[in-house]
Amino acid sequence: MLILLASNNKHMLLRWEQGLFGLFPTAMVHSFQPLTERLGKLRPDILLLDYALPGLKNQQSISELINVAIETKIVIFSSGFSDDIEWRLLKIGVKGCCLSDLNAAQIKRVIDVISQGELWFRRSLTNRILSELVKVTFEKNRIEQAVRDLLENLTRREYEIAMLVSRGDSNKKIAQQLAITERTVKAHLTEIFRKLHISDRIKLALIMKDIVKSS
Amino acid sequence: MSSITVAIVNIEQNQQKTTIHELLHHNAPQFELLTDSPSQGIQSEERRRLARCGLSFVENAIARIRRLKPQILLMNTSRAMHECCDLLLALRDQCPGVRTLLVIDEAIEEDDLVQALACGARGFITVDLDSVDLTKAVSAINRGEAWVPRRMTATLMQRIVSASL
Repeated sequence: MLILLASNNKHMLLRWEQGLFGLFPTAMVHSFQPLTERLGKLRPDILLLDYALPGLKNQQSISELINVAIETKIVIFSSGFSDDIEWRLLKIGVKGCCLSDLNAAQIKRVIDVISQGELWFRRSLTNRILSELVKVTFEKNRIEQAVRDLLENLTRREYEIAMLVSRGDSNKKIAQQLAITERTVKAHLTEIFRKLHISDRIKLALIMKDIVKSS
Repeated sequence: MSSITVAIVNIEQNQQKTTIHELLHHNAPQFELLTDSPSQGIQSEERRRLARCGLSFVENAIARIRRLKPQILLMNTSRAMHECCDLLLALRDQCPGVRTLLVIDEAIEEDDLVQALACGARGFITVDLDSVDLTKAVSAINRGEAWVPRRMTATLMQRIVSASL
């Protein structure tokens, strides 16, 4: 397992190295620009990132890093995070947020936890995670219900055609399967799009796939 | 310091209730277990029983929880997560001030557990816990915190991110 250390703070780098000494190979960078390059080349398993790294412009830069090496687990170190910042970092895909003054043993513990696929953040955020989970689930269910209500307006034939579209079938193939003309298929599709308030078959396919998945 | 009022709802019939009851009694006066006490009168018990005829499990449970008004509800379940989720959703709507802690056995699938948390449970403990665990969990939930192990939070975050897409 390779760990990339990104900081220009000597004390922070020293503590990280003490925590990882003899356990994992490490590489080091001291500013944002070389970091993106080395991240892409080395593809480390874990990146320990100083939130005060020169050139790093808060969450936008971190999103860029995540896109460069999507498999790399990013752990951010800072002298302090507000709940909001820590939450936003977790939401964009950061795996851990730590205070800069963690000792060597704590750093090793963070690495163990993160490498097992878990997250590292302060306990008070668990409550926010649960509240957000309830909120997004409720919203998702509400949208699915609204779509189901719209689908109920479809006739049996229209529903049949919508399901065939979700399988990726062309109008020609649908016409053959249902023993109708292609022109009739197109007419049905126009009616389906009107009833579902959508404009194309890609959106229709996505809706039908979601419905099948959730039922 | 006033005690935390707790009620228990058993999702399945004939569930083993003794462990949780004993633990709560062991932790008195920190917790006060609210029950349908016979001291409220046999007549009122009978009246309630008759009034509940024809009600669903969820309606019954909601009526009982509204009457007892606990701060914390321990929802004892081992398998029937569907009923558990129905009750959680009804609680969210009808008794929003009641915080629910699931008491589960180890056999419950993680997916079912995530679903129950998504329906509003504030955390879970396993039925084989000791009194210290129960005290910590109930007190934390009562303070408005969640009681979910760290190992599960990555799954919950994934669920949030994929639902938001």
